[in-house]
Amino acid sequence: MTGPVKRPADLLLALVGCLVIGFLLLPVVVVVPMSFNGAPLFEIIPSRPSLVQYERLFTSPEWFDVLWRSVRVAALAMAIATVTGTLAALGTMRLGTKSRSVVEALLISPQIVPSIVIAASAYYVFAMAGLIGSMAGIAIMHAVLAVPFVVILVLSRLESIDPALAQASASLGASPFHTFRLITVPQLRLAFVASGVLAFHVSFDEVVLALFLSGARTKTLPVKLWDSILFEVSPLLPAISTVVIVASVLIVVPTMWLQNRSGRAKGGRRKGSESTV
Amino acid sequence: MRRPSILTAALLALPLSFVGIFFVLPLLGAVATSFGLPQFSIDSYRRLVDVGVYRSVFAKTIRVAFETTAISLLLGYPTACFVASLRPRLRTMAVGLIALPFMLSVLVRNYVWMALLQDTGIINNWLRSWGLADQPIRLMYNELGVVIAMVNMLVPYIIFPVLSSLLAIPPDLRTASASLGAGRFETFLRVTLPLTGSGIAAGCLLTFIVALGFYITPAMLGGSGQMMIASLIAFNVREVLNWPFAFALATSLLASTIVLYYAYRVVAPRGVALKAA
Amino acid sequence: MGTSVTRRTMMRSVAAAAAAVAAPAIIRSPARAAEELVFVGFGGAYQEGQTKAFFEPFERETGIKIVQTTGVELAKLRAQVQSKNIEWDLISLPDRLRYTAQHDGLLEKLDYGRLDTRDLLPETVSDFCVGGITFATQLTYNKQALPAGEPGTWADFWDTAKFPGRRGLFNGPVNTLEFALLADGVPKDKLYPIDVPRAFKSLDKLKRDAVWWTQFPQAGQMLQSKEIAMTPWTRGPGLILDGQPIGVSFEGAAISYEGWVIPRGSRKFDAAMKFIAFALQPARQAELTKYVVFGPTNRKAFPLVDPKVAALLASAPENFKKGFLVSGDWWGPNLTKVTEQFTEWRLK
Repeated sequence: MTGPVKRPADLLLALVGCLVIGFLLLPVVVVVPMSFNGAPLFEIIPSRPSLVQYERLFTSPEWFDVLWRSVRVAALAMAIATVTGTLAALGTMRLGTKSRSVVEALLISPQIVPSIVIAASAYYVFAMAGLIGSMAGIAIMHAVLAVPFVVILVLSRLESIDPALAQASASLGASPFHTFRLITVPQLRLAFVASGVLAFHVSFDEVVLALFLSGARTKTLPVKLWDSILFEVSPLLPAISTVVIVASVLIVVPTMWLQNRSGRAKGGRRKGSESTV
Repeated sequence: MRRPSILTAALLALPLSFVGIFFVLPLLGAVATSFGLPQFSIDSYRRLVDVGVYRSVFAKTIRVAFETTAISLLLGYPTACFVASLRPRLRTMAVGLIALPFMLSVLVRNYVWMALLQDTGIINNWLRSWGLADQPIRLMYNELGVVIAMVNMLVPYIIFPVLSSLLAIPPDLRTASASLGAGRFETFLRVTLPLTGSGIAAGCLLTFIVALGFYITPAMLGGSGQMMIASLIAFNVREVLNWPFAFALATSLLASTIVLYYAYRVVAPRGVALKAA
Repeated sequence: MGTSVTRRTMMRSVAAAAAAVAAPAIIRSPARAAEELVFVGFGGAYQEGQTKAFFEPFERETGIKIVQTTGVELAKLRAQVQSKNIEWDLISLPDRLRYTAQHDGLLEKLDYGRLDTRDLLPETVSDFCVGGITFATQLTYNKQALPAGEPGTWADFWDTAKFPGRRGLFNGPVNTLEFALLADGVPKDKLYPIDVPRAFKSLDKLKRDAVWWTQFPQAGQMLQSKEIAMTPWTRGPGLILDGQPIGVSFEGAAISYEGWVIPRGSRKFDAAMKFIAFALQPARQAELTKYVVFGPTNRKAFPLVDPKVAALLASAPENFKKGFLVSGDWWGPNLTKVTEQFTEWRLK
């Protein structure tokens, strides 16, 4: 919806939108200067500006290992969760109202039960299966935690899809699979990406389950962060956060740019609300 | 609707068994523990009801979750509208910016808010240097600071589903509505808003559930450590090892949330299917 | 032909002889290389100090390697013991957790036949746990925030007229109630059993000026930024306040300890006991004070400690007598109930 004339209502909306987005970004922006502090304090304007935290971070292999491990676990959790959650959403769509409510409730429960309860009660099962200390085990439980998000997002999107499109496609002779691939899937893209991001975040930031299910030699970043923050104030934390943010931007921006380019090559810029995301 | 078919079963098989083994099984163990298995006793539940403080804690947790969800909706909906109105390229960037803060861990965020909101923090310093306030405004160690920090984390959970449903609306609908003589506001009220119903509902559900599990932020920024359910549960699991009681708390939380969820399902509109003209 | 056979025979017998000599070493060394103890600690500078003072010297002396991990969680210990999947062999457990762990059957009884406890603080020696370090939670204040003078006692802490400024308090009853009682005039030796209603009445006076924190670094941060004028605080590896105008008072300090424990069912009981005996030695405990400000439990360690550091230690004689020892045995059974009452009080 890009009208040539900007009415006051549009400007107001833009103002509100930008303010809110700015508000959301505030912690991200503030954390960066905090990291350049030599003093062991959280100060927005460092009292002792220095690069010492980054030095510590990059010359210490243990932080890198831990960071990389967290990324791998989160990526695996994201993969498992998006596949599982999407299948669940697709299946749930087709259920009758009563069974659907039950299944939905079941699928979102992992987010309602505090993770400490899940951790304490799952430990036994995991110990039996020998999954304690394995990255896969942690990824699995993170995926369990993330599935509710995927289900809610994908399901909500599925519900908004115009069934007439699918009917039209079928009446034109496309098989159900083709219909799915060419009609449904593109419309799910935003929900997919959003739930993937949420799933990654759920895993990347998760402490409790990771704490319980990790072994002496396998640790994730949040667990390590929690350890060091227990007694000490360290701008190392903001430094790590800054590195993670910069890394995310460096990975995501080219990806989106590439996607935009391929989107355009596929048939020109589309007007209107159809998203290329 | 349709009767469940083989396809439905096939779709649901993987997700349900996944959630079944890794979540339901341990959860059943936890529920069993809360009932004192191998014996049977409802002592834990009786204590929950008898000792008044737990009711207050439940009430407070749910109230805070409601408040933050409402405020997040208020801020998130217009923002989603704004993002939906952007050109695809800008829109992608906006979505990226909204997702970016997910890379920040909860702990670091809280220290950022401390630095920002405390009496001697940046915001109060600015207010004072601009002569807008003589005394520092108490932004922290009260509910205001907690709400600010929580809303900051929760707004994206509203934005994604609402944006998703906004983008699903064919632009022709608005054109049609306008050509039938409706003003912009009326179009919004009678066309756009209802069609984003499922997005709003999904977003609110998501936000509410996530808000229920917050306890670190209220503890650090509001000084309300044990006054949230999740914190009490953690306390009982970790410090006093009273697992039957902790799991009774968790089961009650799950039960009350499921009840609220069913209420939401009855009241909230399911995705409005667009009928062919 | 004769020579080659002889040579071959000789080679064979040399080889055999060499094997015979080497065999014990070969057979022994895999077992030796496999001798490991898993220690779980609290990470950070503290654990680094433990590594230098205990783990590395121990490995040098005995060849037993300490595999380190972090994340001391009673719940995880319980899960391990219940599922018979013990991962940890050694923990330095704070007294506040010791009671619960012991009560829940999570610890092994220590073999005191192997330990020399003559010089140890008697209050820290018990069936399942032997004290290794002491630490104090003491009145800590920002000198710059208090132009009127420096507070010394908890009565001063409660006196917001004489010493204006907000007060940091730990968001939990442990130690908080004791400080409230001390401020109200209860003598140190009459603190336990705690008169809970009296403590809450005393706390009522401070409610308005109280800032409730949950994590130590938070309190340190707030103190430094003068958000609060004073707070009870534990000085540990937190060098955070070095070089800042921060003062402490040992008067009425809550002194507690961490002790060595062995999880029930650990297969490394012998090695763990060996370690504990090693770690209790005066020289070892004194060594730790070079890295973190935690007091030894072994009396004989003090002469070996740097006098400047000794002044900061909770168990240094001059400091120890000013404070009181927190009773883990009282808090153990009462923690739940009193925490409920505390939550109730805070919700009002």
